[in-house]
Amino acid sequence: MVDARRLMDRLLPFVGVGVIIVLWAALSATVAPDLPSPLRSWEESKRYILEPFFKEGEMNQGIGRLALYSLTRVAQGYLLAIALGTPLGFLLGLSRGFTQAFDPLIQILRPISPLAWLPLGLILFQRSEPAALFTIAVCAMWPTVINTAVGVRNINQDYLNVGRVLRLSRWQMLTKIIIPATIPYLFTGYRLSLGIAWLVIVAAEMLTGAVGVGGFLWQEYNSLVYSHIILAIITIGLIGYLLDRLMSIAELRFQRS
Amino acid sequence: MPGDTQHDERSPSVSLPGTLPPLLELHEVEKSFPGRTKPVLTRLSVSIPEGQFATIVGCSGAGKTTLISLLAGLTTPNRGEIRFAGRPLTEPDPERAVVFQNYSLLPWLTVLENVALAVAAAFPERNRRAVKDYAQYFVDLVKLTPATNKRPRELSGGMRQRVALARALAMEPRLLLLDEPLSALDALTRATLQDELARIWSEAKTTVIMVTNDIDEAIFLADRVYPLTRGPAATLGQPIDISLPRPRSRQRLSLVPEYQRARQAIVRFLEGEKYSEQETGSTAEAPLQPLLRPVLKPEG
Repeated sequence: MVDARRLMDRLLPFVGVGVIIVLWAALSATVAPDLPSPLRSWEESKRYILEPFFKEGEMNQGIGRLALYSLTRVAQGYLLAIALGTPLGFLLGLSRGFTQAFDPLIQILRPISPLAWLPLGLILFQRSEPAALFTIAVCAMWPTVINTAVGVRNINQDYLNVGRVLRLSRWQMLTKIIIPATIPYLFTGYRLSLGIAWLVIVAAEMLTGAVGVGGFLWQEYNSLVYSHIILAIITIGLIGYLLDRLMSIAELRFQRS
Repeated sequence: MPGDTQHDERSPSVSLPGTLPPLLELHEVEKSFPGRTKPVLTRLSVSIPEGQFATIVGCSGAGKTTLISLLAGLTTPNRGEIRFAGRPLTEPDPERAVVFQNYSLLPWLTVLENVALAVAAAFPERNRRAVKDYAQYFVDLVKLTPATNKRPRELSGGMRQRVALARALAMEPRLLLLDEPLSALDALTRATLQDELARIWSEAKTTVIMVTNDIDEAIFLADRVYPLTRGPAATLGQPIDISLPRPRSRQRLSLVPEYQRARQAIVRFLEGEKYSEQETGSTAEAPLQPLLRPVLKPEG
């Protein structure tokens, strides 16, 4: 009984994938003739997957190589996001005045789409690469900012009282009590920020024509190779999922310590 | 004890209560919180001599934690004055160490690091090595040597409370404030730690103020018990001296007439509170009555 149950648990995710593939095949065979069938998509994409690092020109490269370009870009933008977001979050959490001055502004900036930021980045930096990094950073930093601020505001009053009884200096209070106590929140923010950074990359690459998974997607759309769009979408999803899992592991480690 | 003896001006005859200048004085102290009509604590006047083990016994919700916060300097009174060692008490100071009700250990530090943080803060002139050795001494004192490098979450409640005590003692405070330090523990652990506390106090001879809701614990440990009336607007009643010889044995203690008398006096005080509340149907005048009512006082 138990074994059968476990077997079911293992099999069901594949059933889910199977249902989607059948649906996809049915759609492409009936109402959406432009949508390549699963089999055709595989035939046209398999070289990109089986030789993930081949290179035959700017936009004709293995999916692994393309993903690597995108990941490098995301890593840079993401590091910029947390480098800006972390101190901003601490300032918001620590200072009432700072919160009152900047919180309304942050609430307005937060929901702005990457598609809106990118042109501004292009105006500011004149080149597409820094504009893409700017867009990733400015979109991805908010979860870090907000989680850090919430973490600082939620520090157990007992910990602060310990610091007060010990008469810790402001600097010691920050390094010995406030920062360590905020780390679990900080890592939740970092995980959410990474998710957004990865979300933004496609938009940024599409608009700037940079080489990467997103740029590839847009180029293949313009070249009418629709099966490669599906390849790019699946790649983006899988990588996003892996990044989230990795960050979750890091987050758990820091919450336990 | 290793390290310096910065409080060597302390007299050896500290066990005689009332013979030394008071270390802590409260004069008509009142504490209220915004948004509440009645103060939490009112008309607190008390004077604690150096070296005394004072226990403040009261029901839960009587404002015991607020009182400890006031004495620690974590919060300030709305009325009246608190003086510590002759000076007005206005802010927290490592000279008055606190053991908080829920331990308040820093979860990201090991046992040794928790204690060392306090040592480093209380004695900034010491180097890293000396701080560590000194912290280790106090970890050993509370019998936690095997747990030195563990984190608080790996410890039982009793062990955590020992760490909190070690951290407070390591600051070599002139006054040790204990906020119901044993209330979260099971009966057996509680008894063990009471014995530990009595032992450590007899060695360290620091002044202790402990709040508790356990009458037996209050008598067992104290030189003098101060009963606290029910809140809101709680205040202190007539103190009861406990002149039972030390070291005290829990088994024999319950048979001693003085223990019985002290226990009855406290119970009568705390229960009298309850009756007066029922009679009047409100707590409006309750806080003043215990001060006026004669409280049975043991001889000596």
